Amino acid sequence: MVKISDVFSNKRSEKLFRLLLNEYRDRVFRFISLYVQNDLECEELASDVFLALWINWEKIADVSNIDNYIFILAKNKALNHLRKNYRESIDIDAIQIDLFHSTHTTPESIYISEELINALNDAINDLPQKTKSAFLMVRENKKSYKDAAEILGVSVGTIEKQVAKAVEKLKEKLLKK
Amino acid sequence: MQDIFSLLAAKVLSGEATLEEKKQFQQLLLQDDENILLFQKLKEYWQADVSYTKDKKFNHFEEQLQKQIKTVTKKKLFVQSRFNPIVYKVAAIVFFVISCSLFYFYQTNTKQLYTFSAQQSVADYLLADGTKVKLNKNSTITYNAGFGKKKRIVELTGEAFFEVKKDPDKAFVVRALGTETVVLGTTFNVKTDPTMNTVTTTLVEGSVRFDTKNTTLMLHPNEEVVYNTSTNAYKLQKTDLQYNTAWTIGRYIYPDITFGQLIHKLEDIYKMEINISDKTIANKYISASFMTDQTVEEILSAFEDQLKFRYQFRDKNSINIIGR
Repeated sequence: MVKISDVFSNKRSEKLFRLLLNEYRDRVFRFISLYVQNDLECEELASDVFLALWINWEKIADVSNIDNYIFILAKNKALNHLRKNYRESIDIDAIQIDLFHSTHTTPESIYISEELINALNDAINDLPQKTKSAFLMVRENKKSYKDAAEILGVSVGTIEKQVAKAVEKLKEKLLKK
Repeated sequence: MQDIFSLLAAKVLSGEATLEEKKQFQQLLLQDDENILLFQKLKEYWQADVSYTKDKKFNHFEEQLQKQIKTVTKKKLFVQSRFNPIVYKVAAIVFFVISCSLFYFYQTNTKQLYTFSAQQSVADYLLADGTKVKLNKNSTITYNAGFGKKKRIVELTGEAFFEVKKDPDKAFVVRALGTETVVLGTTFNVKTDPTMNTVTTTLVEGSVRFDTKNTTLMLHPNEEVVYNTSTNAYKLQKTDLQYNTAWTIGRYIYPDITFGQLIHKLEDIYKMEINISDKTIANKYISASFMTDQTVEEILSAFEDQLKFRYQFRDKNSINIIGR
C-alpha cells in the first residue's frame, strides 16, 4: 500500500503530481475500463481524474486515505460518464468488458502454464461486472475488504461474497483441466 | 452461496482470514492432496503480476492532461508554480585512501564536512540522527554541518545499507551520481557503479522516493530501480532482496525455494550457466543458506547427495547437472 501521505505536503508541486501520475495512471485506467469499454474514453476520463487531483490539491493533503480517494474519484467520473451517455438506466452487469486486453499476466509458472492463464482470465471476464470490480480491487490493487467496500460503495459482506464467487469460478476452471 | 473452500481460500489469499479461519482452511487442505495442489494453483494465479503490454501507450492521455492543466492555469485558479528541474551542486569532497575505517573531520571554506569511509571491510556507523548505515568495502558517505537542521542529506559513493530513523519533518536524502533517494523512515540499499554508470536503489521496508532530473518514482518494498546516469533510462522491477542485500550479513538465505529456482539465482550470483534437465530434481523444495564468499562448487556439493545428482564443468563458466 502506497503511503503517499508520508511524502505529501500542502504545496502544489509538479514533482509530487508526477509521482501520483506514475503511481496511479495504470491502475486508474484499469479501474475505469471496468465501466467504460472504449479505450479513448477511458483515457479521457483518467485524465479528468488527475486534473481534478491537480485542481483540488489542498483537499488531498487532508484526506486520510489518498489511495481510496483516487479510486472513488475515478469511479464517480466513470459512472457520471455512463449516465450522461446512456438515456436509459444502465444495467451495470450487462457491460461485457475484457478486463485483460492489452495486458500480460505473469505468474511464477511453477503450477500453472501460460495457456491456463488465458483460460483463468476468461473465467474472470465471464463474471458479472460487480464481481469483477471486487476481484480487481482486492487482488490487483491489494485492497482490504473494508477499503474495497468503501470504494465500490457496498458492504464488506458483499465484497466477501463476490471475491469468494470469483475464486469459485477459478476453482471450477482449474478442476476441469 | 459459495462453497466453504472458495470462501476461505478467498480470505486467505486476500489476507483477510482470521486465525480461526486459517486453521479451518488448513484442515480442508489436509483432507485431500487435490486441495493442496488446487490452492497452489490459485495462489500462483492470484499473485501473478498483471501489467500492460509494451504497446499500450497512453499518448492521448498525456496530451489531454497537459492541455487541461494549461487551460486551468490560464484561468488563474492558482498561483503557477515554476517547474524546476533538480539542480545539483557538486560538493567539494576530498577522499583520503586509508587502510582501515575511520571517521574524520575536514574543513573547507566555511563548510564543515564529515565523512565516514569503509575501505577493506564492511563497516557500521551511526549518524547524528540515529540512522544506522552499513558501508560496503570501498564506499564513502559524506554530510555537512547542516545535516538534521531541515533535511538530512548525505552523499554516497560505493554502496550502503540504510536503516533510517523515522522523522516525518526531516526527509533523509541520499545523493549519488546525480540522483536522490528520498526517505522518511525505512530500510533500503543504494549502490553506485561508476564504471557502468548506474545507481541501484533497493527497498526492503517502508517507502522511498527516487528522484533524478528527468523523473520521479515511488518504490514499494521488494522493488528496485536501476538507473543509468548516462542514458537516463531506468528499470523499475520486483527484486530478490537476498541478492541485493546479502552483503550486509555476508550470507544468502533462502529458506524455502525449489532447486531449480536456486540454480537461477546461482547463475546470477556467479555469472555462469548451469544446466539442469531433470525436472524432478529441479522441482524439489530445499532450504539454502550460504556465505557470500563460497564457491559454486561448494554449494552444489552440499546438495549432491540429498537430491541425487552429479555436476560437471563443461567449461570455465558452464556446469551441467545430471541426475544419478
